[in-house]
Amino acid sequence: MQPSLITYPLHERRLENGLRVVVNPDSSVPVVAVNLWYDVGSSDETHDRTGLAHLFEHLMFQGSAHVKSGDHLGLIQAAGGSVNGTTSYDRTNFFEAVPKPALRMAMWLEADRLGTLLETVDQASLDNQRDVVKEEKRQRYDNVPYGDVWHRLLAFSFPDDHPYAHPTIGSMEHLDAATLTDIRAFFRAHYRASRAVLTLAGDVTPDEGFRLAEQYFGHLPEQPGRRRPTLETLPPHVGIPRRDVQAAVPRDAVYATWRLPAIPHPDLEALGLATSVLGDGITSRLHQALVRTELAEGAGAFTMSLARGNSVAVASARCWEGVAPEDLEAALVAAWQQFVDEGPTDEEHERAQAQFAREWLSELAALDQRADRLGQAATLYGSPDWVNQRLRTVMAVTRDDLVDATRRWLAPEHRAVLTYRTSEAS
Amino acid sequence: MTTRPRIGRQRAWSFPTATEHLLDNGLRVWVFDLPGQYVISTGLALDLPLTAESSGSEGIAHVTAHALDEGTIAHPGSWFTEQLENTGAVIGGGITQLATHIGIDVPVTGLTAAFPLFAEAIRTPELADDDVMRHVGLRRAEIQQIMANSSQLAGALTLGSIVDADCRASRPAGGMTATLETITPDLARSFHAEHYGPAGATLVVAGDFAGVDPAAVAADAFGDWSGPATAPRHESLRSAPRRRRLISRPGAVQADLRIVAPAIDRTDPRWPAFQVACSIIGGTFQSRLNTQLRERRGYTYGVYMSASPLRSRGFATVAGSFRTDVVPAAVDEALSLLDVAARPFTAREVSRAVSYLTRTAPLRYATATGVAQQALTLATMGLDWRQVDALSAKLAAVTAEQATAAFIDIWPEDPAVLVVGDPSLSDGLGVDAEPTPSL
Repeated sequence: MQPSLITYPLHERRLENGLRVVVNPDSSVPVVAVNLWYDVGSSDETHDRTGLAHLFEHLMFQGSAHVKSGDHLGLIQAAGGSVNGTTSYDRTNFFEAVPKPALRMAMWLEADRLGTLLETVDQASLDNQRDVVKEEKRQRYDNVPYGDVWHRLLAFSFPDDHPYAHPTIGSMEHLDAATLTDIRAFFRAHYRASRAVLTLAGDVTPDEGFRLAEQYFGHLPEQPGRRRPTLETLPPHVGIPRRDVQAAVPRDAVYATWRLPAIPHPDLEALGLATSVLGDGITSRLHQALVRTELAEGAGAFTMSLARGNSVAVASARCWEGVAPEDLEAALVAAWQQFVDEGPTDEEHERAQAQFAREWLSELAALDQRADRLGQAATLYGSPDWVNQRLRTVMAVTRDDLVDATRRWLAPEHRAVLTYRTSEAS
Repeated sequence: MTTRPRIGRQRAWSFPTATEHLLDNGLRVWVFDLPGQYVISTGLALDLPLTAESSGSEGIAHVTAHALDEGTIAHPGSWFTEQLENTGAVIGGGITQLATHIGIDVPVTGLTAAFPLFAEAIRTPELADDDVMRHVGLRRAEIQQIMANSSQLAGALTLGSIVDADCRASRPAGGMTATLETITPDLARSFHAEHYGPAGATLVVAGDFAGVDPAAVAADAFGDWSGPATAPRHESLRSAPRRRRLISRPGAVQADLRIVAPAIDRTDPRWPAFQVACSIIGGTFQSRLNTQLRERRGYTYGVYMSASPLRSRGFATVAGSFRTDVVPAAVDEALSLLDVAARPFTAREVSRAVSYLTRTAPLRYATATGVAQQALTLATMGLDWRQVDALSAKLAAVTAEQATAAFIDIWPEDPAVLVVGDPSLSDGLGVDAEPTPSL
């Protein structure tokens, strides 16, 4: 079978209250992945309450009218399932992958918290999870070399009042300031059936999936969806903005970033292939130019697709011992410029497509990741069928498409540069 | 909608069955046919414990394994990797205390083109001077990054806290800065010549083969591979005296804690009961440790306990990160939660842990990667894939008394306690702060 011809069976229906339901029947293993993709993320926060969307995600596990605190996770794990939730800029997702006999319980748990969270959320839960989230921030960002790089890059890429300018984890100050009133208001504004997609992927038929969705979610009230304010696409950077950071890091490092268009702009898939040729793996341009030459200990590039106004691309390289960041940046820019001028070779273009195909198929091979992609597709690309079409779309990107998109968005003069410099203390 | 739905009976499930082939040169090949898994996952485990490194040249196994894909004798330089990646394949690998692993993931359409290249990297790598020395430099850089990262440093020092210094396992698998100094390209090439071969090695191929015969592809690529027939010497861990240590990181906003002790391997009859015990204490969200230290106290983002079986014996570790001011209290509470004699496991706790450990199997092994990795891990221990089902059956029979007894029997009263954090913790922990050791 040609991988590009693989098509997953997809069925979609919308309940009267607006909940979209997607079913992907696949009986290869006796497991069903349940995914709720809520159309709310840190970009929906106000600027004096950063971190609220993520703190709220934690409170979704602290119990609802018929579920005790911690039991959502405990019951699913005891049933042999995996379970978690994550928060990003554009969305919050909650997911379980359970043995088939636990499917009803997983859906009931999700419906109970969407229907009744406000009845039980209390100050003790908020205080406890505020502490937990502050520990998460310390563990994942504050106590890790280069741990703040992504926050710095986004703050640098967007104006202060832009929804993407602040990190999802938020600030300690705002976490401390969050009140139960904030939490309740956030729930009322964003957690409603009309702003969610429920995906079931695995050992479930479409009829069964839709029937269970109606049974457990159908009674939830119909509330209008809220349209997010649209954001204009900010133009590429000009004048090569620069920031320097002194930090307790073992090596100096250079990060360059570019503003790209937002989902679903057609250039994004071409730009994904371009950053793959430039910075994915040991055959990439940056690895060849920077690591094989012992200018860098590591180098890479990628695009991150976002829904509102802009996406971003990032190139990074960490200095080989004794190499100055200025020299490393100059070599990075030279390799980048050559790519922009000449484009990829035919072989590089096809290799990037072959590598994409493997990565995409590997991701879809796991039911939980496939369910998550289906929720993303329904929300951000209008239809879950994007998952079936995406490989064909990427395989159809021509060399000219790739070259044109690269020149439009990724020219070196449109970069902004963040440089980490080793502080003396380290 | 107020009553929680009951959980029905689970459909019988078993780990996929491999077709087993033994090539004339001694290489074992396990083929797992997994319909719908369009990316083939392949891995080769060499029976190559790090005791094969001569003392003073620790890191040679790491450097050799990492330089394999930089070019081959037939296809020198980056041309080799380009050809491999053109098929859609990605190659990766690494070492553990027990084995060297090299594998590729490749869409089935690229399998026949990628496999001979994969074999070439293992059998006849170029190991050119520049490539070997660059990987020495990269490993040195990696050590600098580990020493700067609190959690990684704690991880790197864990085994050394409980294993006798004469054991190879007491030192980092990838070697230390000082021993890397001794590594030369000649040493890497002779390490490869002396230790890479089919004897005792296992090749796993898993996925939806869509008409391709994977056993024939594997036999073509590896059938005439010859190599050393040395019997590798696996070491049994010898314990070192255990103590409390504080590794100083001035100004750190959080401290990384490890509580570690020697434990058992999978062949020990107490293994199922011990696995259940560790799961109750720290394997799930509602474990004793996480419920107390995260959900009640808010001390941590999460705290876990895991048992790590090696080929002969093993170890078990409690791991978590805690803000500085609560570390002494967190250590005391964690140690008291490890006192199972004071609070034996209940039947309900055991039932939930068993359910978690056995019923998650279909999900964990739902992908080609999941199946291949588990089969390779077991091969590395001298076991095979049938162990997965056999263990499930044994787990289901574990009683609360057995789990309690196994844990009390195995876990000592004086585990090693390792904290990487601010030196101000010295008083609270009752131990002097040490500078960061050189790795």
